[in-house]
Amino acid sequence: MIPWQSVSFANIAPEPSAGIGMCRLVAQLDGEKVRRIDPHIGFSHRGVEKLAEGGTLLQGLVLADKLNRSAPFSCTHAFALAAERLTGAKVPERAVAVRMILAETGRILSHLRATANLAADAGTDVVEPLARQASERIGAMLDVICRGCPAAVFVRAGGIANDVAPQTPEILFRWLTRELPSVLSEIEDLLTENAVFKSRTVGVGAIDAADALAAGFSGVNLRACGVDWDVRKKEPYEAYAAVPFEIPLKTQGDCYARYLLRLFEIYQSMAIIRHVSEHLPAGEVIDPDFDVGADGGLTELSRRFELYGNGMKTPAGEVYAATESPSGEFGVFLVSDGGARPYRCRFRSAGFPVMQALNRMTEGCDLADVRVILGSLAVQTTEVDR
Amino acid sequence: MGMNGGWTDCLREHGFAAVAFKALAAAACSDPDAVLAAATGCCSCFAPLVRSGKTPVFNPHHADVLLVAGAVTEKAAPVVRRLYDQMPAPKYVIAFGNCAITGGVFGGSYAVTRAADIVPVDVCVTGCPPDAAALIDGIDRLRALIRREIKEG
Amino acid sequence: MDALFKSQEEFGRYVRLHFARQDIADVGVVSGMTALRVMRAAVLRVMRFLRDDPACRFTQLTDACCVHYPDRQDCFELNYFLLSPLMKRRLRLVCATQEDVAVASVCPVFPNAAWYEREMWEMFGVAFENHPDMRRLLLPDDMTARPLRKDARPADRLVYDESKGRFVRQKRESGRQAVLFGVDLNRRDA
Repeated sequence: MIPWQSVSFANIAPEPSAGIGMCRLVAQLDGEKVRRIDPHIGFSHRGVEKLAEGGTLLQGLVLADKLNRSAPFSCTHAFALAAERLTGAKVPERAVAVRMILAETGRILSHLRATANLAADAGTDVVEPLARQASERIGAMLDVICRGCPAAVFVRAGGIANDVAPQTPEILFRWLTRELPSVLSEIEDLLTENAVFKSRTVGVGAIDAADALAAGFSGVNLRACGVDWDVRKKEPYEAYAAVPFEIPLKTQGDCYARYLLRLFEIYQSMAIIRHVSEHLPAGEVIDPDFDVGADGGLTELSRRFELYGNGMKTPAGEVYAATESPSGEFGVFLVSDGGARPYRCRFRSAGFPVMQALNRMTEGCDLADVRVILGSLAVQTTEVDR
Repeated sequence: MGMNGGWTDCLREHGFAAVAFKALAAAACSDPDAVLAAATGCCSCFAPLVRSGKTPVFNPHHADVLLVAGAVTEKAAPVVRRLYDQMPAPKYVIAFGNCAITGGVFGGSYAVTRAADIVPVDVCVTGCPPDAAALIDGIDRLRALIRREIKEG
Repeated sequence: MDALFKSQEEFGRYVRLHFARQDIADVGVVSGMTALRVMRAAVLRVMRFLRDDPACRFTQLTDACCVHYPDRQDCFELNYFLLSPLMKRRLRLVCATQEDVAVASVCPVFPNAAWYEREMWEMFGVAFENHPDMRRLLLPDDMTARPLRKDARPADRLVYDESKGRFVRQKRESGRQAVLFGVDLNRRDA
């Protein structure tokens, strides 16, 4: 006789949790409980690493931007840093400040979306319109700040594409003091003490510090287990060392801790943006070796063509640049053989090890909790698959 | 997840429960009634869809239009085809975004194919990524195409 | 640097002291990160030491990737990126290997190496020994090419044949696959 509760399989696809993109989880179930999950990834694998080998550094930026659309600037920033370390570019102070503002704005945007997606996974759609409204506002604001330059190519090796709009500090101040706080307090009112939300997230998907480290976690997912590791603080890039901000920590390592940390981080990012925009240095925005004005003479014009067409020759070498992207450590490993195109371009994706650890994290949990756990990890399959 | 023939077939072959795909019911009567969106790349079509005032629903069997958003990777291609096959005729396909149309910046990649190679595309919506206005324009063009088809029989 | 070691070089020498001369080919500092060139046979031992030694404590494997040099005899260079949050230190372990010679999988030391090794095998054809679960990761199962190799030939495009009612592979139109932005991906330009 077949036992009433037998082992069965379930395919959780094609979007196992809200907004993460296409992927497939094959779950082995024991009744309602998950025994084992085999994540199948690669549905968004577009071969970006190979394509980047065929492009100049500028073209590589555009490809890097496509890796994580929900966190603008995060991937291009890492790529630009790697390219700068390879070529030894001197990034002007103003560009450094603007890049920090943009990176933190992207982090706020990404964390807001992640929170909305987690809320949707946990059973409430009410946060989604709030987050969408806020992200549309951010998009419109970035359009003004970047003066219409597409986000994909605004952050470049050597600096930024063009100077930001003169009214940038005022726009940011208004956004940080009037618009964003009300959205955040509304989200907090809706979720933080919400009994249903807590019952679906507290104690769910918990992982301890040692396991998380061994699994390759980074970013919020690692800090939710109590590991004090943030690339911005521990290996400061740009001018993060000069900015006062804190790294919030939690020790529970569950979905709720990750949710709380994202909210706390938004406040820290706001403090960073506030501080940097109040002390925005004046001056150049891009290393002159990387950009030539279009209004110069014929020699400048032909150099510009050379720079944009054939790209800049980089010295042979290997370089790894890690950044704290909203989803964790996003790194770029560039190998150059002395040409204008990278010999090898490797993107260290933050979500890749997280997807791999999904099996361990969901072991023994309810089938319904799988999407909550995945949602709380804020994975993007476009970034995982590359 | 509903249980039906399409679902189990799909599960067996690709492990994909097609019913979980987001679809969209448009309201107006000369509109294509329902749009099924397959997000395969980095183009998010859901935000523009929602922005144009539509409500997402979930079943290819109820869909009239397949919206292929983003680069169609070789791994995702059979799934997209499967979704298309599950839709009842008459059915239409919108390729959404440069990547779906030509491959876009991923056009030279070993892992990327084109929407038109997988399913018969009726309307292309260009952009990287296209915005809500471009999508509404695409739906308008599809509507005109359907009207012409009806007129010409 | 920290209290234990004055410089990256000193740390490199410390690691080298614990192994026989033939195990570690070279220790250097590349772009601010200690780079350790390790012989194929010693990879697992060195990894275990780096993880467990109280002065190293590299508790995380952040990334692993392969670089293909078709002209060299040891044509694959495996890069393992290690991180020690405790000591605030990063290290890159480099191991050169060739085709048809299996490298020991580092899964026993760092379990999350499993997917990285699957990816290296699928993209380059690097063989791994004692890997717990070796199968394709990112590409469809019927793809046999090793696309990230420098000598990879253009793969055929997947096309749905309406008349046959199934997927077929079609030759890419000339100059489509391998050429991007006007540059041949498989040819190295000067």
